[in-house]
Amino acid sequence: MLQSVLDEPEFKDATAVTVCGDTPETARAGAERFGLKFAVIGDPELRVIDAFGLRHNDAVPGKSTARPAVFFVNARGQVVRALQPDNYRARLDAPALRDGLRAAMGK
Amino acid sequence: MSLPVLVSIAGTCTVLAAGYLFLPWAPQLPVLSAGDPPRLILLGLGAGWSLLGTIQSLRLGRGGMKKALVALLCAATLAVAGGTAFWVLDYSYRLPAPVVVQALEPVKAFSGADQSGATVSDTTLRGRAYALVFTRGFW
Repeated sequence: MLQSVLDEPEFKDATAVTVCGDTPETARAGAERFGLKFAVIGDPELRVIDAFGLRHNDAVPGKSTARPAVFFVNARGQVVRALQPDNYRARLDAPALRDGLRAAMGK
Repeated sequence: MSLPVLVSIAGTCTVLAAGYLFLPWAPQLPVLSAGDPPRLILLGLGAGWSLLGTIQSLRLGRGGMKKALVALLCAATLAVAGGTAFWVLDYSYRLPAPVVVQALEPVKAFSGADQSGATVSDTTLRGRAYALVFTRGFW
């Protein structure tokens, strides 16, 4: 979903970074499997996840990872919009992604 | 195979199909994938058919082994349906509270290696709009 939105001509100047609690090897395999061209950061030590206060302890039994969240950041490094679903099964919604990226691009 | 047994098996198949449609990699189908309620209704229908078929099979059927197998299948079906409903309606909502983000606050400093080994950070991305996405990971 995210990759297909980023592939739209309107968003050629934007990008995305995904952070998850997987190991770098798992993150690399996942990125290859789903054909992701944007950066995927495996953060098993939860350094980035903790920096944002998004740790979800024992999200999967025995494994902590990130609570789902999306921050849209503009070119000046400011968060212009945030999506934090209340349910981890919620999928990224293409219209919300487009709106967020447009806001980050100042459109 | 008697009609009650067929109804019970159809219920089991319906529960399995509804449960599968909740998985992240399941296809997005019209109507059924529009939120949780359609799939929960399908799950309930499947469980109901399984239970109804099993009750009728126990009442009208012959053969102890056959009845035991149908009852076992029904128990497994109800367990799958109940577990799926619990996951959908309760467990998946057990998340930490959202973090507070002020409008136009600077993004927190972060840095990490991407899938190609390159360092990605808030400073390397400066000058470009981006979505910073936190996920549970690949599962």
